[in-house]
Amino acid sequence: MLALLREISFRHWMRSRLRSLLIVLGIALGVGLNVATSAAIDSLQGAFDDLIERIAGRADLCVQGTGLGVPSELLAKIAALPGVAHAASSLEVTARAPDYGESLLVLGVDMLGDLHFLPFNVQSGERSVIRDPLSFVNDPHALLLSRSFARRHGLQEGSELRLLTAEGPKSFHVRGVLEDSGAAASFGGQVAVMFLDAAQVSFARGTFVDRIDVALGDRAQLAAVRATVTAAVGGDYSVDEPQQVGTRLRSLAAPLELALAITGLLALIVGGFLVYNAVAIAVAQRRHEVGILRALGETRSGMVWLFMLESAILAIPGALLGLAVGRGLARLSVASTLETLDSIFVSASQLAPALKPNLVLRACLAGVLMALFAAYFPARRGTAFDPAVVLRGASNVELKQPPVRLLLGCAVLAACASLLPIFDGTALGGFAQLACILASAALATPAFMIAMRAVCVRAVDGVFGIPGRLGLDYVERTLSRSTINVLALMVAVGMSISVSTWLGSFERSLAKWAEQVGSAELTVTRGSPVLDRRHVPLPATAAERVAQIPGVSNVQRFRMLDVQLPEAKLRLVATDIDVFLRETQRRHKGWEVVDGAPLSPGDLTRQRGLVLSENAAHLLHVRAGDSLSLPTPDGHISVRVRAVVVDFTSESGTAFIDLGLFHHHFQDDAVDGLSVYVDPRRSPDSVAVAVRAALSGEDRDATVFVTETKSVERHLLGTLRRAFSYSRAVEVMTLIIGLLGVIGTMIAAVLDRQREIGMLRAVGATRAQVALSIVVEAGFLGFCAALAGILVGIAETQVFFRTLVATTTGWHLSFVFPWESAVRTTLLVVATSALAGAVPALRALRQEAAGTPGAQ
Amino acid sequence: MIRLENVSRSYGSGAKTVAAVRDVSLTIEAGSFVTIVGASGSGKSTLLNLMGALDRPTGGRVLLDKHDLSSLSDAERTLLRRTRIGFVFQFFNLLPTLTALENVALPARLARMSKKSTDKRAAELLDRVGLGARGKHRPDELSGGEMQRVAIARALMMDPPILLADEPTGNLDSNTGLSILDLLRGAVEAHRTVVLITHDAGIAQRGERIITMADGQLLRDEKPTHTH
Repeated sequence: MLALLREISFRHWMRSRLRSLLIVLGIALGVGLNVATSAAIDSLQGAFDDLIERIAGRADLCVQGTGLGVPSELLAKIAALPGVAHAASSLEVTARAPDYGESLLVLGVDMLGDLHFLPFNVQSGERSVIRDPLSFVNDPHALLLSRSFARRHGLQEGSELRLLTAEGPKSFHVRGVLEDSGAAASFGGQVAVMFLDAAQVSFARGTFVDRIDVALGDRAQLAAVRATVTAAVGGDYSVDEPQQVGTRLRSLAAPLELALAITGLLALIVGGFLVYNAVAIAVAQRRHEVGILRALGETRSGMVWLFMLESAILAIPGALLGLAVGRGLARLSVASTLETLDSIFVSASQLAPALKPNLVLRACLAGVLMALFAAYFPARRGTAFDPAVVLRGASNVELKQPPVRLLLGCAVLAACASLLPIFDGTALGGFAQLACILASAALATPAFMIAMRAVCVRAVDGVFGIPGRLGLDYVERTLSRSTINVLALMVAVGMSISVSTWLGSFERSLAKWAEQVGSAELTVTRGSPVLDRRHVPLPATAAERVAQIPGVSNVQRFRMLDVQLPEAKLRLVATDIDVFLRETQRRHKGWEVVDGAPLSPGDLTRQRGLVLSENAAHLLHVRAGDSLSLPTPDGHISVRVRAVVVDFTSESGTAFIDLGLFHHHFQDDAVDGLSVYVDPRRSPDSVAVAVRAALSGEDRDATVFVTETKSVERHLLGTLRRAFSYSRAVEVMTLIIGLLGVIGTMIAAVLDRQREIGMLRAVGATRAQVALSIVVEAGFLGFCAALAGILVGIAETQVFFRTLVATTTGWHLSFVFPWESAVRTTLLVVATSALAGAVPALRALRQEAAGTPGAQ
Repeated sequence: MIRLENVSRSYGSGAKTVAAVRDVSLTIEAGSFVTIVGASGSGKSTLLNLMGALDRPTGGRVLLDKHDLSSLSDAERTLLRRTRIGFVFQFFNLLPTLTALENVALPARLARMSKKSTDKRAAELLDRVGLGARGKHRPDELSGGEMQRVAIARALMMDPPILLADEPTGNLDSNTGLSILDLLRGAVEAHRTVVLITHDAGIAQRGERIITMADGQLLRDEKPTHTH
């Protein structure tokens, strides 16, 4: 075997450099995408591990709540319970340091209470963290900073650090530097520790904390103490071991992780297509050589192994190249993933991706295994002939066509399977449906191509003449090889159409909703133009100040928090409902009510009621007229569902209540944002300037955002598009892989047809006509792939909407076919496929007419 | 008329140079039937390719009716092949996805002539070679002899004055081969120049003039000893 590799394989690699390069590139791109996706998944898991490590070090149990958090008063109650050795409250906030453009994880801890959970050792002799404990204790703006952040920005004990808070940018005093270990090493080493009550005030948390950590005297009593604590705090709070906290968060991010994993796997599969194609071509080209070796005594399995080993050896440089590609792509994938994670789930710092050894090994192994697997089938198929057949000089073109009818039958079965009711209603069922759809499309592709040829041949003959007709004929003659190319491109096109349809449909639904409810001219927020995790509440007096500005006709306050119901989490939005209803009615706009009577001002204030979003009603299985039990600091309150409306505020569902009701039961007067209604006789721009001036204060706080509501919508849509930016990159790479496959196929086509090309030249075909035949063939492959991909993409989107989106979010999006994207993608794929055919066509052009017609 | 003046054709370079044709001078009058015979590797196919403007000589000149082929561009040579030369190959070289009629019409379709007129002429030619009823059949449905007949009809599609046949009976049994030769003889009688390559001395006797080649050079140029 080694001798064959050395004497034969190596020479082929040198002679067929382009084909060898195609295998290397296919593996490189597949591995690269896989690495980037794996890095993104690792970054997700790393963020959760980071969180668990922050809290798991010393805590045996964690008490947490949704919404505002856990009331501080529960600490004393918990600390007094039997079995509890230590208990302390903590707060975690991601705060922006505006002077450095970076985020810090601010840990608010009680440094005067139980010191067991402190993320550092206060008394460590000469290396004491706090040199001047007295100053530290007396300074409400004191904080401790992690060494790596301090060093990077030239900060030290005595320096000032500005952080963005609910009261605007505020200066804090660095009173000590923490070594980069333990909690201080989390969040990429960007950690600040301050007094708990200072953090509560600065970040408008009132008397609430994120967590109460509990350490036991005897860990063997864990179950008993857990039950005792749970009973003491009541059902509105969870009591978990630290690992379970991470597990719960992980389950929330599971769909994101799954989508990334599927993307990575698809990329590897498409790379495998390329290898399959290249090996099939190589086997076909070397049939004569295989026949000779078989005649001389080499076994069939030996030949199969030879081709597999060739492929695996070429996969090694491919995998190494893929690591370099993956490292570059990983920056994009990790940045995109962590941004999503940070804005929705948990604090996650923007770390540069590190390719860990096990990730590198996994990716390289996956690449080599994929090459072996992809090479096995064409090698086995291509060596299954009687050597005498080849040595007699039989044609290199496919002798055996795939069983088209059988494959079509199987495709129909797979399509029917995707319609089975057992798949409806669950996310897993949705993925199973997707798998059936893809399998059906793959199996139906040969029949589809034959049908498309029959449909297009007259038109092609009319436009391009006999060379065009011959190009189409050749696609059918080499159906197996052509099918593989079409499949690879089809996956890329299907992905593109899915993403475009999803984006387009969501944008249309979102735009329609925003148009109806976004009546206010201006939106006022702090820390972020939208209410994501990075925004900071406005002070309670903000609304009053804004209302006094000339040109402001009305101000609508809103406060948002998440509450945990038995069935699901719910986003609670407390707002000046009557202001909203009056203003929207005046403008002939407002919520689209899908259940219940139309709304009027006073409906939610005269009688205690709430408006529920459509997706919340779906997830909670409630209707208008039902009652909902809302958890509040006061205890549960029963509120009637006045109406169900179309709303896209939150994927977990939204309930709108009047702000008065919220204040009564939550004792929280902070405001997350303001909607400002401008007098029609005044210009919104001038009012915006005045609002900004009124809220910025003397230090010209640049963190207040006064945005035209339409800009907020555009920002949201931009965020949505950015969330898909990595998917778009994957589409492009997958398309490139598919096109490389086309190049390889067309090179083989030219080599296969040497004699035919010679004959055509002999009977009067010009070089341009021969080249045209090849280009038309390549373009036709792209055309079939584009059409098939559009059909597959539509089917995928339907499944995605009906099953995945409806199941996980409860949203019902109206399907919008992406005409522009479909036409653009079709033209792009056809043009680039034709261009891919031009590469081997140029080779054919250089070929002289002599030598081939009668040559053997 | 075909004239070769000190024509040579070599492949490769340096120590690996192979001289397929060496300093051959030859004139073939219009309307004659010439057979070129020689062992495998004697240079006869290369000579045919040079005459048919499929290849360029590395030395000397090839003139076709006073056109110096070496001075023509590729497009001009292609046009010449299309309109003035018909080729018949040993392995037929029919396109498997085209019917017999479409294969015959191929040169005219390449010249972008109208389908109606080309189909009509192709049908006439198929009739002439005895395959009028087989026009709709594909090559895999025809016998070897039938395929070669289709190939001859194709070669005659553009009514070329010159027919070049490279071992046209090499893949056929003797009876079928004879019938093919009769067709080629018919072309001569229609005042076409026919040059036929063969390694079979018996078939070579069918021509009006026999040129024997060996090692790339003309060995003999003689009349046949038997007439048919």
